[in-house]
Amino acid sequence: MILPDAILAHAPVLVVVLPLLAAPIIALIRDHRTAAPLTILIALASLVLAVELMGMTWNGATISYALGDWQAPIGIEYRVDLLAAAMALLLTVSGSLAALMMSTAIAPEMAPGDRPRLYAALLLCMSGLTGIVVTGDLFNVFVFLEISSLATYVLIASGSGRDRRALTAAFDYLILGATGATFFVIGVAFLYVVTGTLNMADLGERVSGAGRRAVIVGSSFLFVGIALKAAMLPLHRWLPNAYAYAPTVMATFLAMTATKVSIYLMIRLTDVVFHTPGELGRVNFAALMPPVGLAMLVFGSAIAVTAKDLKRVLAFSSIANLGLMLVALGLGGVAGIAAAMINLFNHAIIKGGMFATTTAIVHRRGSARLEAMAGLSRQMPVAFIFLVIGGLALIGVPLTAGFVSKLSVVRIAFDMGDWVVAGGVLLSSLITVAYVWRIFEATMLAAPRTDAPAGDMHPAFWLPVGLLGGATVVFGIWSAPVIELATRIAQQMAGVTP
Amino acid sequence: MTQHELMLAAILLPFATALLILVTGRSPNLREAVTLVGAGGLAVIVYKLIAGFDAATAAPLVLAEILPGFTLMLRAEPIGLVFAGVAAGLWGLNSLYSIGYMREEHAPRQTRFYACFAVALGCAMAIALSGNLATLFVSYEALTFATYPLVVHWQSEGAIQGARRYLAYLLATSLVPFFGAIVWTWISAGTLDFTPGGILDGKLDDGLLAILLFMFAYGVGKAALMPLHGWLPSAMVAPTPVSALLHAVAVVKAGVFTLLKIAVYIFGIEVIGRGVGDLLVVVAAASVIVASLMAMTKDDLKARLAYSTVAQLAMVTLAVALGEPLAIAAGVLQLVMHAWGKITLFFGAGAIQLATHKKKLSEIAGIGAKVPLLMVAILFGALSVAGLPPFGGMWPKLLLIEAAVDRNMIVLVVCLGLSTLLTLGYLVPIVIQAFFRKPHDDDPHHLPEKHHEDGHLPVLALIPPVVTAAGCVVLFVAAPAIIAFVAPVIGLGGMP
Repeated sequence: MILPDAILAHAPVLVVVLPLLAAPIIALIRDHRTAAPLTILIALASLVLAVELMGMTWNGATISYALGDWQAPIGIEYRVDLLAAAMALLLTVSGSLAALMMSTAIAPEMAPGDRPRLYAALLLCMSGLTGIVVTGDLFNVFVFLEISSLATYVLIASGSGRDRRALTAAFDYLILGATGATFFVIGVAFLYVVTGTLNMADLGERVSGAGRRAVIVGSSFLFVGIALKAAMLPLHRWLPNAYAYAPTVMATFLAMTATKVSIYLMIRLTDVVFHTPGELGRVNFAALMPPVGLAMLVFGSAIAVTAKDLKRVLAFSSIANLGLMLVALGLGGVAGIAAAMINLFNHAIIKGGMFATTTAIVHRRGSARLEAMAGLSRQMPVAFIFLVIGGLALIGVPLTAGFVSKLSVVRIAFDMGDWVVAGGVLLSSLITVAYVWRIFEATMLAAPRTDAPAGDMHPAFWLPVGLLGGATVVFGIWSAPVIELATRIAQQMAGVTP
Repeated sequence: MTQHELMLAAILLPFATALLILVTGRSPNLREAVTLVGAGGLAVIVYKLIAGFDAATAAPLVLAEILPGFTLMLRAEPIGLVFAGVAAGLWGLNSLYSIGYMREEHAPRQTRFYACFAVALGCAMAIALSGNLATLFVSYEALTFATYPLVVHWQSEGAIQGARRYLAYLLATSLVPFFGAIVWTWISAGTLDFTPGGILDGKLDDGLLAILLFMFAYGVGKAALMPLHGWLPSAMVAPTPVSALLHAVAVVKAGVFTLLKIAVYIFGIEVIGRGVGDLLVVVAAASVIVASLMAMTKDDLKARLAYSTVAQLAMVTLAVALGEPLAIAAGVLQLVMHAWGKITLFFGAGAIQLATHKKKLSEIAGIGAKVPLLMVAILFGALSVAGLPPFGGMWPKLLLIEAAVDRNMIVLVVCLGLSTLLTLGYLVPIVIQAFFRKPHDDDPHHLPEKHHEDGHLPVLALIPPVVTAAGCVVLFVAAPAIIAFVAPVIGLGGMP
């Protein structure tokens, strides 16, 4: 504990409010050379707060914080358990790493005067996503969802300096995201009418006594809204363009966080609002997840094979990996939630590492097209090595975090005798090999570009790339921390005492 | 050094060698010296491991825990030490040959070549010393990736295509049936540790065990059981030293070694022998005959050798499927004998190419007078692979036939006899063609001589095949000692 108690007592709200308040200030700063360090500082401060929250909740404690001292159910309650704290940590780590890279990465594609506003959008996005995970109030979730979405539109659109298609990508996401949010808020309204509360813990207690049909309608709306944000097939349309056209450094942040928060909401709502783990009311959404997840695994990987741009390959690969998380979630039980969390954390690390490496490559070469990668293995050997590490992890090669993820899902599937899921997950890894190998062949075997700018990664990328790439390997060999965390979360969610 | 330290040294030394090779890449002579010193050091370490092996004191060495119950663990045992001995023993010879071959060919990217070679050897050592199926799987996958740059070495369009097939076959088999079978075994038996007598008896019924055995037999793609053998001919796009050490010794032998380990320590020999392996016997025997027949149709020398390897590997699979201690002994011997015989032949094929720029059987008529010593070495290798005395290759064939007789499988005895004839039929013509045919004997409208008629055979490319050919004879005498070494773990009373 490095912070004074007076601050610690308010950590659950500070982790959200600090970046939220800092964002407009940074947006008003004219000089990007002041704005960038300030953004990094705020992100790191949030990170410290998230670490403190982790420390406080590690042993199973739940922190309840009444906003403005208005007690629930009248006031808004912030409720931080281990799941929320771990998600907050993931979000702030991602935000900090993106902040560390952004001023270097964005320099070639954005006018200096515009940059502070982009930095502000990053903080706003991080604040909104963190708000979603720490709040205990369902309507508050909606508010933060909107805050983070608005910031995300800005993040995506600011890729227009390099490619004008970023604007249509942002507009696409604006339309779809707004639709999703509408579904979400309609679902919230139904549940509020039936139960008279918006506090998720209270909802959980009252929903069983409320009118069945309204609950099913409400939960269905809620689910569709979340599914859209999670890019669940067939509502995935916004994701590939958003990742491909956003500035790569911001895509790094989004890939590590945006869809993960939706997975968080699924876990949170299956448990808190609807009690029976893995089931939303009588409509069994859990049964839907393995087939949809498998379809995403196959579909995402198959499209990734045909993509011609590294960022698109990674984006479709993300759809496949989200599929794997849904499969794990659908398998249910403590083991299923634990496997989903293992996948969530590991994938954030792996994909974050790959996007960070891509950021460094794009910064040097100006393009993420696969054909522009020729000769990378010789001209940027360090970046190439980290691409290889990430690629092998995506395949699920042993000694990488990806193997731990895959093994944890396959193991449960075998344990439950679910051969379709086990076989599907194993077979889909073959398609992964195909698209990962396209990256390797493009970077290693194609005749080197003679016009390629000299030099390996810019030093600004060393820390993020090294940290995430290193973690990919370390958590593949020494997976105990991730597994322990995931298991504790799953046990707490399922109400099992270890 | 203790056994644990020796095991770690055996795995880490090749990796350290690879690092040093990368560092010294600018000075070829220094770089090659590093390779040779590394190979020599590894041979000494493995020799010490074998000489100092004592079943009573062989304790597991846990390295890491990937998931609870899925640990990385090393443990020395006789079959693994035999495999380690073969791979480590041939690395030095192969490195000498590589130096002669790669320099004569003025090959590019030699630093990467030697470094990947060393890494591949490290992976092979980890496979040999693995104490459970998890460790074996991890090292097995690592070997696939470490050898990919070697297969794709020339980076021509053909090499890229061939390497793609190589990777596709090996990963498709290992990521689906092999990995699936491992998790299934893990869930059923609750452990993955190699345990004498097996861990699966009574955990699954025999029908499911037969399915599981098939998942392993085809999952271990490196064993090249037909019809999943296609990667091996494709891998011949690699430089010949790679084909020699990896696709006659380290990679393919890692495959059949894995099957032997699974038979002895996962299923248990008796469990397979009571009928679980019977269907696999048929498939493996068919693989022996069909691959031999296909070898006969190949004009390209390396392709012919590749199909020959498919046939000879299937004999180890056959030994596994028979489920008899005697057959397992034959399998272990085949692993050793075929390695020495086939590496001689690959060395020979590469040397012929260096000396005459010829790659095809139909082109090599009359070259015997030019490279007589080489052709004699090739003859020795051919006879050993076919299984004639006084060459080491005789023992596994003999023991396999004995095991087949024990099991009353008369058709199988006929098959094995036939396979020896077929082997002679596709290997001996190489020597006949070279010594007893004049050029263009069977080419009525032969074209005028091509310009690059005279190549040069560096002495470094000649010594290794001669040494390995002599080794085939030595192994004829040494075979009983190898059997005595592995007899305790496979439940064999002594030399039959």
